[in-house]
Amino acid sequence: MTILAVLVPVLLGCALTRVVWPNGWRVCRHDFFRASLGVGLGLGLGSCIFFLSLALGWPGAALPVEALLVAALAALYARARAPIPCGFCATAPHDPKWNRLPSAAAGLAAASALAIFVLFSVMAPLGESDAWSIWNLRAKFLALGGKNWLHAFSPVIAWSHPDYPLLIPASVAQAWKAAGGASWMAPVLVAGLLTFAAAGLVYSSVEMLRGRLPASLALIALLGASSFARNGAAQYADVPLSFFLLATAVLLSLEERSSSAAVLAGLSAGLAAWTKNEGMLFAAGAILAQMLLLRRGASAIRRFLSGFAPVAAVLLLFKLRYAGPNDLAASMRWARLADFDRYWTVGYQVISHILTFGGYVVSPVLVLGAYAWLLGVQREERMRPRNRALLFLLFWMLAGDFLVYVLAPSALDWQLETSLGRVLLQLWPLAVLTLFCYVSAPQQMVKATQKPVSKASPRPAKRAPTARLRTMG
Amino acid sequence: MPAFSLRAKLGMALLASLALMSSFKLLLDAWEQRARMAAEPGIGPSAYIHRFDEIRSALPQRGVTGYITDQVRDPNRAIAEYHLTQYALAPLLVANSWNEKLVVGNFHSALGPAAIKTKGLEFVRDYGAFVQLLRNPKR
Repeated sequence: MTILAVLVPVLLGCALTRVVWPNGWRVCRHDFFRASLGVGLGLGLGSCIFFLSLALGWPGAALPVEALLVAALAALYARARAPIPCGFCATAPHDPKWNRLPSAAAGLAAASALAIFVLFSVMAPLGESDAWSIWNLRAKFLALGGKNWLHAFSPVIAWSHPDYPLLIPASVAQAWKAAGGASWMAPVLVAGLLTFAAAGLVYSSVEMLRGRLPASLALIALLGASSFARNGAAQYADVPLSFFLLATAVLLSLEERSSSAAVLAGLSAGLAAWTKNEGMLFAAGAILAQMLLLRRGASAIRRFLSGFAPVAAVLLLFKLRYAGPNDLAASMRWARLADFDRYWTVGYQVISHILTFGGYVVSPVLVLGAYAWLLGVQREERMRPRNRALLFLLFWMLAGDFLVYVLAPSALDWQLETSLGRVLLQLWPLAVLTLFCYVSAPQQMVKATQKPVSKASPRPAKRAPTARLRTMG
Repeated sequence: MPAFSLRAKLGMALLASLALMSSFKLLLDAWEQRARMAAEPGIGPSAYIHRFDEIRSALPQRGVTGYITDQVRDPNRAIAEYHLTQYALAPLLVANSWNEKLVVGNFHSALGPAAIKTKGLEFVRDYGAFVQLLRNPKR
């Protein structure tokens, strides 16, 4: 029952992406993109529906509603008269022949990450401290509290941050409610799906934007930060948030090819805010990026907001009616803006953490910096609005997090030590996407090779193309 | 297969080898850690919360219960244990105070209960693993 309760929202998301980007009844490599995106969007939508069902007093209604939505989307898809071909296939960048070695290396990286995730989940099926004192604790109240589910936000457990949004707790709670108990499986499944959906989304989006070879390398770079899979297994909300930050950025990048992408980008930005409070900062940045860098018109912004609004409404209901006060916001002091020691402390720690990020054997800044230097950045990529928007989003979040730390409570060292690594992890998939969008693709650096033509044997004349066409069905 | 330039080959090889090395390093560390844990069963949060399986059935499903511990040497550990106890007993609320009618005693030795006698709590039942149910007669 747990698996079914997780599968239904996943199917909802996958059905949604299939309806938005149809491909008849065919399967193509872009279904990996649809599936990766669909997993996260589906779990997010499912959590919103579950929370609403609790708020409306119909706790058992969420799964049937989601199943009905899946059926409705499937029926809508089946009714489409003309089998519409995959739009991504038509606009895919030119790829050289399949490169086995990088693909094999990417497969190894994925297998290693999966093994890390499984091992840490086996060692700590409850996750780490924030999992059982915040996210899954909340899920227990939502799932098993019955009419007293509101105790999830009781001042008795104010230390559990009852203001934190509910994407993770509601997703886990929905599965626990269906199963009738709080087993280890639901949180591990939800964490695993979002972790590997983020990895899948990095691969598939780089493949669409730059080609297969950069996609393999991007996946290797992402999973080389072993803390990514490890933190996923910890069942915190940072890796899930990284999925939605990445998804929003990818969807904004695709808007030139598909107007529906803007609606899903808004939805994803809303789900980022529904995952962690930092998501609200990101959503604001996404709107600014569209206005200032992508120079999208009012209609595009409206489409974005049309996707953002429903989730924002759910979040607003939660914040106004149920959530407790935010302890970080309550303890911020504007006077700290003038304390330059704090800037120094935060800046030093941010740089130290970036230099040693992710458990790389050599600093990832050196590794990725060397890669970027060797392959270079073409001028057209530097000037491309999409790439500038990605960079803007990264720096927007870094600046926002920096400011929060400067304004944060007096135990600054403790705050930095316990959270800065995870805050940077939230931006990691987006950072990898940005890098691989900027840096030249390896297939753009192919040596020109020409066989010398012998004077004794002139080249045979090409066969007339028309003769070939007549024999084709 | 296209002939990549030397720079491209170097860049790809550097990235792939260092990234994979990082990943395998953690994998090996995790494997060793798992082997160590297998040799020492009964530690970790999931084993810890099972200490409260029996007392959970004696407590109301919902409402608020109190909590007391003899863990005074390590405040961080004390907080972690309290949070785990709350997780184990949810959806029952566990207040970090003995000012409730029923109080869950989370002790670490047989000497623990003696330490709480000054609080005026009455013993109700022992559930093994130094977990006890206590009553506050003043509530």
